Amino acid sequence: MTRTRWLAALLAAVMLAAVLAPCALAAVLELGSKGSDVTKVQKKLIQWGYLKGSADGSYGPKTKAAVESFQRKNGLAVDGRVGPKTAAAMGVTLSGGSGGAVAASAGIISADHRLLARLVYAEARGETYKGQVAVAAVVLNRVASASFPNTISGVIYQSGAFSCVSNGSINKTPDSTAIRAALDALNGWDPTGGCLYYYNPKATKDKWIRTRTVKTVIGNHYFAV
Amino acid sequence: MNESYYVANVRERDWGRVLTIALAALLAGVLAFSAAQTAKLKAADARIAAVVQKAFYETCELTEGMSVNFRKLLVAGERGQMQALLNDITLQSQGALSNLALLPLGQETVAATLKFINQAGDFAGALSVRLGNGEMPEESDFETMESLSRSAAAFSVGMGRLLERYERGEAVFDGEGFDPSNAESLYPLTNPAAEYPALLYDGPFSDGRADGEFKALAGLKEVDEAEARRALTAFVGARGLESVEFTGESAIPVDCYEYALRLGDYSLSAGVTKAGGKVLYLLCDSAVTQANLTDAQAVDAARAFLLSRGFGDMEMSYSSRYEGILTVNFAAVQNGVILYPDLVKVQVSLADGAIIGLEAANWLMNHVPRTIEVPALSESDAVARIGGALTPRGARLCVIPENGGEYLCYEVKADSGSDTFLAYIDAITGAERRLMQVISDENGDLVM
Repeated sequence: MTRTRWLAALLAAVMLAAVLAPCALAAVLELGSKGSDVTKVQKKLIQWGYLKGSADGSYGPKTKAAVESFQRKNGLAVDGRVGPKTAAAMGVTLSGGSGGAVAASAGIISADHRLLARLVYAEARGETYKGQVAVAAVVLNRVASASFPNTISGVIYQSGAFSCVSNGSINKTPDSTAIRAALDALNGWDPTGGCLYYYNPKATKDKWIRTRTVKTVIGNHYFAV
Repeated sequence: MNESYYVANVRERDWGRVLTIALAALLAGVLAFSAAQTAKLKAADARIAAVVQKAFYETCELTEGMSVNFRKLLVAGERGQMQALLNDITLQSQGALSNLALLPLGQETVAATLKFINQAGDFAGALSVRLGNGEMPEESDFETMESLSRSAAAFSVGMGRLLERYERGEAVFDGEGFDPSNAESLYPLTNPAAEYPALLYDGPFSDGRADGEFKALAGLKEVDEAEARRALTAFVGARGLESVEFTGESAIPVDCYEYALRLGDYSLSAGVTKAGGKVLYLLCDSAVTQANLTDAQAVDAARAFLLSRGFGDMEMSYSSRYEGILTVNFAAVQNGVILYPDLVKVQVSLADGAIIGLEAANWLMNHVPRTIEVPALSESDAVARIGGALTPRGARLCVIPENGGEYLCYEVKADSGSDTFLAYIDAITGAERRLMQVISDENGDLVM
């Protein structure tokens, strides 16, 4: 009996955890965020005189400035973003879920940039910042090379080119480091100096790729032409 | 006591029965679920197979079309007809490229074929532009067409044979597990030895660019690691510099020493060339989320930094902001003429104005004194050549890079309604070489 009850309790706990898990995502509102949470924050800011106009649910530069003055006045770290502390100080509960994804979209300049950031996050999120820019640069070097497709999406989705496409990890939401790394590569930074390949010598089983000339080593990746 | 033993026993038996039924139900459920999953998987497999098949058939059609068009091109007499054929080839090559990339053969297997199709399409596009500018094909162009036509025909015949084998039910594509050593059997798709013409043409997809020489480093003496480190320290400035650590050597593509440094609150990576000890790049590992400076203050800081580091008084072309970092793009200026090939990008922290990023590869590759021709067109001639829908707002002389060469142009800034454009009119021939749109938003200006 006791064991059965214990099992039932465990089962209930697992199910509850499964239901609650999506809500546990930390939500942050920042420049570019949209939705009902932003409206809530704006209403508070308007009510207290930090913001003029109407609550339109879109986190623009004016909302950011208002949040900053709220933070300054209330002794919070002034970063212009509404995280858990600022939200608590405003007495606003953020609903989470999509909030994280929306926040991470801030600063993305184009569809290409978004896709490149996804690739960087999937392939190199454990690497240093330089290692992340390097992976993005390899994609752009391929776009410029005759031996590869001529678009960012063409290169990333080329059959067999990137393991994160075959295992689906490219569909994860990139963090702001990956987004910035992709942007720096688009702006011309290339710590690989034109490399077309990279591999992790400890992980790859591909013999062919080891025949390429290695130009530089960044973190766990060898970069080659 | 006997009774209670009996009750306990019955309970145990009941539980046993319940468990058996539950297990049976679970098993039935699992079986039903796995049958449904198998059916789903089959449907998904069929969908993927259809995508691959479509890609294969379309590659065949498009390369066949390219081959026919190249043959027609050799006999076409009239400029308009030639341009139509060339534009067709460009479109066909783009289509063939995206389809080839879908075949489950692995990147390295199709690389040679992609290159051939890329360069053929690229050649067609460039020739079409030249015809549009009033030129006629030269003898060498006809030779290239001849050779491309032959290769395209051979390729298309090979693809046809492959298609026949495929239609007979041969497993030409075996999905993810393609073995590159078996590449021979998929000729012409995968044969790296296929004799595609080596194009002399130096277009955007030519091979020459990856190994571009660093003109600004020519003749500079090689420095050792200690000298490179001193050069880097002087470059970033001793103020706030806490540590410089040598992390290795690289050939990216010029030989460099690599460093990791700590500058105040920022962790930076840097590459310094062995030739001359020039800083090739600085990259900031740390995020900056605070912004205490305006963009204009940051641009001034970047300009002053470049001036003090020997880059001269450079012209800002655009800037963009990400969180607390402003990226500013500068071009060199020689006697009032802007040299767009000689770009330097500088990143400024908006938190405190520190210089935390630099990208100088273009500068080191291109920056040598230029002999600037005397323009054949006057500024007003150039302005008169821009599109009728545009209202000019000003013009200035510049040098732009194109297809491996450099061209003296008038950069004419012009508006159409609320949109701003930059038109580049060749100062010698009067041809419009490029048209860019300036996109401005709260994060800065972008030229597309």
